[in-house]
Amino acid sequence: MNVNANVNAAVKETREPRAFPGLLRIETRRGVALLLSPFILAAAWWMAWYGTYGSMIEPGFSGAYIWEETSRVVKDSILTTGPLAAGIAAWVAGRNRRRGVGDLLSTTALPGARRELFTWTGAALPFVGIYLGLVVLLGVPTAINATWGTPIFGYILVGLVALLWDSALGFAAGYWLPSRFTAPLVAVALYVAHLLPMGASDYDSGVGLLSPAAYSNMSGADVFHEAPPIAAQQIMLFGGLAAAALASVAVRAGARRAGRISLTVALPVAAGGLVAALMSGNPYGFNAAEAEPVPFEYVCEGGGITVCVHPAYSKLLPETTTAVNRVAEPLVGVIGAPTRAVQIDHYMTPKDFEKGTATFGYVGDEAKFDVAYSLVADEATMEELASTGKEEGFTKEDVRVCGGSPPRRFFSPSYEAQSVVGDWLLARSGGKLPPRGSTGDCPNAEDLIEGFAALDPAERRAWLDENLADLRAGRVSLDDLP
Amino acid sequence: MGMNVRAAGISRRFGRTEVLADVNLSVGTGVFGLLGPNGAGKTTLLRTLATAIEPSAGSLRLLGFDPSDPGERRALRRSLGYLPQSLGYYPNFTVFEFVEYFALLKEMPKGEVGPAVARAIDRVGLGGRAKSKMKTLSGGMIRRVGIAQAIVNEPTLLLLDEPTAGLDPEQRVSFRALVRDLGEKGTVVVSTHLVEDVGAACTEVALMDAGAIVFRGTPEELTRRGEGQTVGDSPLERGYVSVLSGTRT
Repeated sequence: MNVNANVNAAVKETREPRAFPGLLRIETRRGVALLLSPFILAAAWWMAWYGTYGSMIEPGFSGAYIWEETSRVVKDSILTTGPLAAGIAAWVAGRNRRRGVGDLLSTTALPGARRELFTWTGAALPFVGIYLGLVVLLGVPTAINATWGTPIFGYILVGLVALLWDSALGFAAGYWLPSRFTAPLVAVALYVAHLLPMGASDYDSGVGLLSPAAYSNMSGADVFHEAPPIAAQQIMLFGGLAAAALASVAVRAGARRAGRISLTVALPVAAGGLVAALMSGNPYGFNAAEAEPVPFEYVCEGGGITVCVHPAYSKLLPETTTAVNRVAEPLVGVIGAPTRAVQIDHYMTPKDFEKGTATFGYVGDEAKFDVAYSLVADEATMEELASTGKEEGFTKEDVRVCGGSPPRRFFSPSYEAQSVVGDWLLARSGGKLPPRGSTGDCPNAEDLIEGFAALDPAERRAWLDENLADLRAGRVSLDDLP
Repeated sequence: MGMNVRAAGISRRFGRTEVLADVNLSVGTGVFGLLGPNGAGKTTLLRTLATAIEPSAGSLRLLGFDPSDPGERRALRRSLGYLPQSLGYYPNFTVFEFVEYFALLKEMPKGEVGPAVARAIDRVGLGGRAKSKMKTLSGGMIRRVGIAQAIVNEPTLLLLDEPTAGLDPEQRVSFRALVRDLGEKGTVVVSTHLVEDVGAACTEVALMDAGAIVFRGTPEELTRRGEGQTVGDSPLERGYVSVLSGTRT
């Protein structure tokens, strides 16, 4: 074999794929990310778990495991893990120049761009593991306990792609600007970049989609409505940016042609995602008028009044039935009193209410707070009266008369009378009264409640028999109370 | 004898400074010493031969490959070993991992990596420290790890820049034996300030000054050039000083 034949044979020989597992093993094992991953996973789990299922501090905590909630919380873990992934990737990317290994590395056979890609993979992989670990840690208890629904994989995918974007951006930043300050700066910058769009005041715009954790507090998709479609524009945006960041590294590391081709593809994809996000509105934001209701059958349990909850909350039905009936007990058998209480979505508008039926949003013991007022205020009827103008003096008001009270729309002047009776129901069932204001024309609510409570039971029952239907329809004012 | 290094008229500029000036060099199998004062261009020549930098002018063929061609350069690098003057390292890697990392980057066949790494570490006398993290090693030990990564792929062209810096006398003796052994099968180019290394290990030597090769011959020939010279502690040093003095006058 002559010299040229030897050269040609050597050039054609490709060994790189064999290097991949070994390099990845070393990069991952010795990377700071793997070292920190148990702590990061624990912190991410703690924040996700206690913010969702594990804490009674959370007002929305129901005790039920909901797939929508779990999927969303997994996605939103990006707020914790994303900036960390970026910071660590930036640190790893800058190490060759920081450590003075660049000269030596540049003489090795594996092309620089692929070497950098392996290095990034080693930095990103532990975070993918953390993310998937979180999916398991939250998904397993949800799978065991959830009584309805399925995971929303679109949410989980958005979080994963965003995590890769964070890591890729951090790596590119560390590669282009190898300084010991790059890592903390890029982590803080990304954290802020994730938070800023979440504060976008216009919830109908797509600005919030620039953050993977956008609108996390709105719970737009719930068990009553279809989850928004997969945020394809977010996946395009974050995926395109991740690919562009890595392509920029590849260009500088020597793979100029492949890097430029990747940039040519990735940047338009990212730009398309950006434009689509800004123009598409907010798929996560709740819009009751547009959201498609999910068909379901209520799960009900009898008592003084029948209590029905969404099947996703069926495990909490006995507790809810007890709480609702504790509040409703003085009204059982009263003429015009609801005989049924159903769980509704927090965001339901009055048109969704069923005439003659009490409603509540939160379940378990928390149901007391909603149902106490719903038992004495038929919002469907009041809405109809207000919208048709059949009853003079009815105006819709979003202000809360005398402060506090149920977090829904009420109507004056009937509201105050309904509020007094509702407060009485709540107080006698052991529920804590909401805080009240003391300005303007606000009457002394405590005196009125105490006065109503001090009535002879037979006299009060007689008054309720005579007036409850009018009270629920908003035709009773404070002056009409006994 | 086949020439593993063929440099014809190579020069290298950094800005306005010409660090290598029209260097012509052909080196075959054996240990080749590169001597010269600070700033003579030894490190730049070695970096050029190691394909870390490209020459500004001239042609270069290494092991029969043209390093300016990406495909040939990649193939060449699989048979290349390089120890830079200033060796950077990853403090959290173990000795084994550091050497293995470079073995993998040199695209050694997977099955050969483990035994080759163990052998290279043994050859530099660090077998007992294979699992130690790099940050726990002394300067001399780190230098030896650098040599191990350079020889792990049994290179046909081995380029060592100041390999004995930081080594104690015993380690230096071992190193020279190692280099002589490696020089049996391939080309070893050693850049050094220490003329005794050249005398003990090299079959041929070149002396550089101001970016050019001003002497080329065997250590014995360099020694002979020092006859009558009074400056220098050893015959080889006297030859070194004599050549440099002659060049500069």
